[in-house]
Amino acid sequence: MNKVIIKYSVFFLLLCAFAVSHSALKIIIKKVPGNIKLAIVPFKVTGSASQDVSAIINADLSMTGKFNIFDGSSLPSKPSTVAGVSSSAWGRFQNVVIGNVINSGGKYTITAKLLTSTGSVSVKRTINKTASRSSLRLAAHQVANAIFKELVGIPGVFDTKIAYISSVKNNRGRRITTLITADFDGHNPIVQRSSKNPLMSPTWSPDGRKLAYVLFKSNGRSSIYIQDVRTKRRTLISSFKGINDGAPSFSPDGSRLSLTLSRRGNPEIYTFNLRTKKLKRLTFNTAIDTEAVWTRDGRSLVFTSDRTGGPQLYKVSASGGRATRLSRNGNYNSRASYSADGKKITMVHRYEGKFNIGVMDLNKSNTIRSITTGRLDESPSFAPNGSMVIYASEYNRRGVLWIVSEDGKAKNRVVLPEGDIREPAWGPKRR
Amino acid sequence: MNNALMRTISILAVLVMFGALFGCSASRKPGDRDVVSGKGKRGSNSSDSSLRPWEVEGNPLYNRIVYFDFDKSDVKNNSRDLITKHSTFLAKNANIKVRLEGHADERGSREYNIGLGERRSQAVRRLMLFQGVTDRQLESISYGEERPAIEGHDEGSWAKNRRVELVYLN
Repeated sequence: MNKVIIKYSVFFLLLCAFAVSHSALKIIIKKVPGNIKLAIVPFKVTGSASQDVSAIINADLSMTGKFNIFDGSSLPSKPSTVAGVSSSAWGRFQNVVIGNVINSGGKYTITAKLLTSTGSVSVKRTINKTASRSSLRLAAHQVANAIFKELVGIPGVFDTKIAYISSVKNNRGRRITTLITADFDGHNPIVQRSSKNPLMSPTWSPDGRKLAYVLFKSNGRSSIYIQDVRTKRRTLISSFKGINDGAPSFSPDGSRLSLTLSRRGNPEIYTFNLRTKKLKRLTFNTAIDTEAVWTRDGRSLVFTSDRTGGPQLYKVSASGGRATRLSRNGNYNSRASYSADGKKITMVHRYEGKFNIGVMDLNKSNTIRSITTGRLDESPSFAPNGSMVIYASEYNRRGVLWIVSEDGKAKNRVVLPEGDIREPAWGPKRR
Repeated sequence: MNNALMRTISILAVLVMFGALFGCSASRKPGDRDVVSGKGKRGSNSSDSSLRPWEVEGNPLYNRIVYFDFDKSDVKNNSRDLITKHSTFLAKNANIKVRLEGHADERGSREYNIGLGERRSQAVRRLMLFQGVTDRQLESISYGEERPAIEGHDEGSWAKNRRVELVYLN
């Protein structure tokens, strides 16, 4: 009895200490039927599995808005072999996923088959994965990637990571901000850094191994750090007088970081060479110049400036010189983020008085379309395959994230059990 | 281990457990200091009997918040009187330092709002320098939208959050 009480006391103390930082995100998927029909049959499990593999695949594919998924009671039966799928009963689904998960002493083998069921039933793709207990979730995401690639024609992003900031009140009512990395669907959260002062602007290095971010000190001064995601070892990059912020961003080759400093009295864009430690100033005027991101060739940067009144997007050469205006629609466009192919930019875009997420297709007209209808949407970031955008917004007075399809049709809400989450940054393609 | 000791440990453990539970559920109003009224704990390390002038209610220096319009960083005419009072005091007391903390409301992008808060604190700083305060008495910083005075999502809250706070450091 005594031992039990002691044990539980320690448990409660630990719960108190870690509740703030270790909460996993929850995704609320709104199933929006897409064009590609797909039946997902629950996989046959031999032994026991720590993860529901077919449910993970189903959730991944459901989020994209590209599939019209049939599952559960809408299926005629639950076959685990090709012979169990007849074209008469399954033809209307067009595509069918069946599979097996075998647990042999903690070593998992997944065999998934993507079938075409129109006309005669044939195997379109067989996907084999082996995994340990801890990598089973990742293996399930990789099966979803292969199915996505086969049916959509572009790589899936279900094995990628995101970084984000949480803000949760501690037991003294004080807000604690935490920089977290997690799987794209919020699982496996890892605390990178926590502070009672604001943390902001996380951004990934192109190889996905490092994060740059901004941390405030108690005296209100800010600093930029670069941190190794795995070892959590960090390097102080900049702590000049004035602001050290403006959404730092790595150049595509990872050798330079763009940042905003006001050490000369006004927010200006600089690049910092991570090897030579040399700063180069790119903007010279009395406006706010901030939020620079690199073009895919690393030769130019797109940034926010209010030099004509309200914030708009401009482009400047990485070697300096005159900036040209990119955004023309609306009176507020800020915080650009490129798609990996460099063909699109997503940004905060004010439309009819509300702050939406906009997408600009880079062509002659550079027209911006709103892909969201929120009131306080911000911090958009493309998935590495360009098919989805993650951004932050307010929902029922809480800070939440949304993962939406690039056309804005499929919307999935990501919430923390308590407190606010914000500033998501979608990591690069897994290497 | 004897019985008495075991009993003491278990009682202590129960107390710790309740403490932990209570600690987890206790909550307070947002913010450590009352920003809206300007009552700050910062810099008041002396006893109540020797309050600094800016800590005394009714003193001209008691109001220490300058408000701004949306996406604007120019000091409004109705804020000039407040700033002038602080400048006059600071010009006469060269040893006293003030941190100008710029803030923005939550609308728009967070990093642009850092820039906006910086511009607001710089606007107040320039006016105070013009009014005779020396450069070494003032420091401009910006929290952007990261430290709202009021955690609301409406125009009333936003108006209170677009501000520069004068924080006396002595």
